[in-house]
Amino acid sequence: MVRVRYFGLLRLDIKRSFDEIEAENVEFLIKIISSKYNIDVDEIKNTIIFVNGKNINQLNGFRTKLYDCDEVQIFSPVAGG
Amino acid sequence: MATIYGGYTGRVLKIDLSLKKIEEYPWSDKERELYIGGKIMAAKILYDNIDEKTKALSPDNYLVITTGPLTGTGAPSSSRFNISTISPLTNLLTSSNCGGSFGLYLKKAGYDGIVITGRAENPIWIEITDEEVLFHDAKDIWGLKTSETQSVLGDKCGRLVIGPAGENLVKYASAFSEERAAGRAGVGAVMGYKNIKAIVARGNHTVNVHDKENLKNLYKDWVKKLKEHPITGNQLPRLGTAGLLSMMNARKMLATRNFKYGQYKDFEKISGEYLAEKYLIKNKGCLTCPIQCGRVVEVDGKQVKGPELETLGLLGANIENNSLEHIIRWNYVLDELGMDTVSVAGTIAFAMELNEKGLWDCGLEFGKIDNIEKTFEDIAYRRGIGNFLAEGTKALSKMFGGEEFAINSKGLELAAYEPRGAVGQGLGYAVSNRGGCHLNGGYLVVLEGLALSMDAYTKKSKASLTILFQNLMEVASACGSCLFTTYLFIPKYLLIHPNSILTKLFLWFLKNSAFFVNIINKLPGRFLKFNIPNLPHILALKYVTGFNMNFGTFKEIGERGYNLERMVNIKRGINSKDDTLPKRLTQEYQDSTDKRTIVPVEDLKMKYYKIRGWDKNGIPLEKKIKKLKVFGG
Ligand code: SF4
Repeated sequence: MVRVRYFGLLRLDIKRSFDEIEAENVEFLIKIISSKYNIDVDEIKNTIIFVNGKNINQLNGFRTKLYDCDEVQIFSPVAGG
Repeated sequence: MATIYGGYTGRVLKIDLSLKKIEEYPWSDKERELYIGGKIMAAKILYDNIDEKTKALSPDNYLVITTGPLTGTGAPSSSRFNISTISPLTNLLTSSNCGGSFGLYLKKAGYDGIVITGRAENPIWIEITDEEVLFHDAKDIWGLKTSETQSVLGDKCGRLVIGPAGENLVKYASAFSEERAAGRAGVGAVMGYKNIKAIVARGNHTVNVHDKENLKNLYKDWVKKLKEHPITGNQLPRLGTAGLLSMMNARKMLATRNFKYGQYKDFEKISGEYLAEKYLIKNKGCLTCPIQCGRVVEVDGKQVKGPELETLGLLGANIENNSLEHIIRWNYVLDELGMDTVSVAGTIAFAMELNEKGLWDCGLEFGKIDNIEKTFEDIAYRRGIGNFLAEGTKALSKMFGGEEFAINSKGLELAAYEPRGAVGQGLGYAVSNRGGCHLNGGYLVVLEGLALSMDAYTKKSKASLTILFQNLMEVASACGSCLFTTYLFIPKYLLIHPNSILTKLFLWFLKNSAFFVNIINKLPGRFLKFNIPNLPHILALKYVTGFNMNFGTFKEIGERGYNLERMVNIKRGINSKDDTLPKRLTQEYQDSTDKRTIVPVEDLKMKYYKIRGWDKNGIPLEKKIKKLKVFGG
């Protein structure tokens, strides 16, 4: 199981902070979240995603592999203040 | 002195408290063109009136309260005013910006600014109307907290007040207008020293503008832009500045345990999301602002202002406190006592580490929160250890040691961004005119991990971008605008498509943009005669005042302002050695396995000086000063 934490506006929208999801990579995880919360896949693809503290853009992008107990943090795309 | 320009009342009030003398401070149209208003105007007045020996807490210090030309013209998010003085905390210039309504009312009273010198014999409050200036005995309100003081003074007026911290000369006491603070570096202590408990302004003066029709359309469009921008239209209204905390933690930029670490294990419990879910009652903000980034929460059955990001980070992660409920309460208590949440929190974290290392047995410990509220009271009334803490971090380090982890720059405690996770922000903290301030430092952290994901550790282009941002924020602030309005400068596309190829390309360009950015930084304004629609301040200035305004003139005013403030500090004796950070941030790696995780301050600083046209000692070259007309001409 991958532990998923939601942050920012996304978390306020889906009214949920945490999920445990079975997924082999980020792409697949996004699809599951998309159908679970009825959000467009593209919308989740436009979030900022960290896997075990690293931005997926520094890993293998959406193809970044996920393993049991990995922690994924998903932030809504904007963070300014 | 009357003015031909719109946006100004044309009068600046001068009050000499020692002589009980009221007169007009001479301020010409030439000076309005060069220095606009706000913090830049104040810097010029300070430069002209203080010298190297002027003590912050002395009758000779000047307290300069200024508005910008956009204030009072209906411009969005532009009701702000500025207080500048020689800070008792840093002994240098400080400028503190506030979103309360005092600035608007000051203009209604017919003044663009107030210049105060001298010292009243006894506590007074000053009433400024369009007809007269009156000094009232303040013995009945001396000792009251900030909200009590304001309610005694009545409504339908602008009120600027101090609390017990200002009265007792706490070096980081703030001044308040409604719930908004001119927070940093002790402007409240200067008011307290001068025996001013409050200033009240009211009147019926209206501000003329140069081109009403165009201005109306511009303001409409400006509001629309702010509402449609992802940061100002969505993120800030819904999560406030508190919404940054989780991202800062993810990016290792959240100051934790007196800046020892960049991440806090319990960050979620003090996050903006948690605040929104559990405590938020509604949004609130400054007048004329469509963003409304302020939070309203409840304390003791009263609806009060909620904590900002800085307060959450510094009274949370940085002292290892995971109780949001306590932070909300402390934020209220500190506002009532009238002191800066950033500096008090930074000072307490430092004291905790002093205690931990056996350098000062003060009873404060990381993670121990039952004595914090009492400590705030002790500081405000200068009792026991509070009397030491009231002096700030730098002074404590002189008394007890620990300079290498005394987290300040030029005496001002750092904001909640841990700069080893954002080295451009580290440079900003080090060179900032008012000391460890994130905003005056250029706020590069926005590019380095908050709004955008630029390489946070590279030195590349950081000095150039810092200068560009510092200059633009300087002039936006001088207009009277909230700095958050400058977020429009960040293209929406980059924010809503953080993983797209185009965004990645842009970030690559940003990292390698020094050459281009320096063209903008170095070219005289007359070669940059264009307009930038996402900086509506430029046209707003033109339509309000009638100045000949374009991007070139605009950025040049910002550059002039930044150099002028620097010259005030140079007069006060600073040089390159003061543009620095404590060793913890420049020599101790945040992550011992990652050699990028320190602030390479010396390298960055030298580049910064060179681009700015300053010598190796950090002193602006004479030809630069002349070219920029820093002192007029
Ligand atoms: S964005 Fe926030 S701080 Fe700025 S003017 Fe609006 S309410 Fe005030």
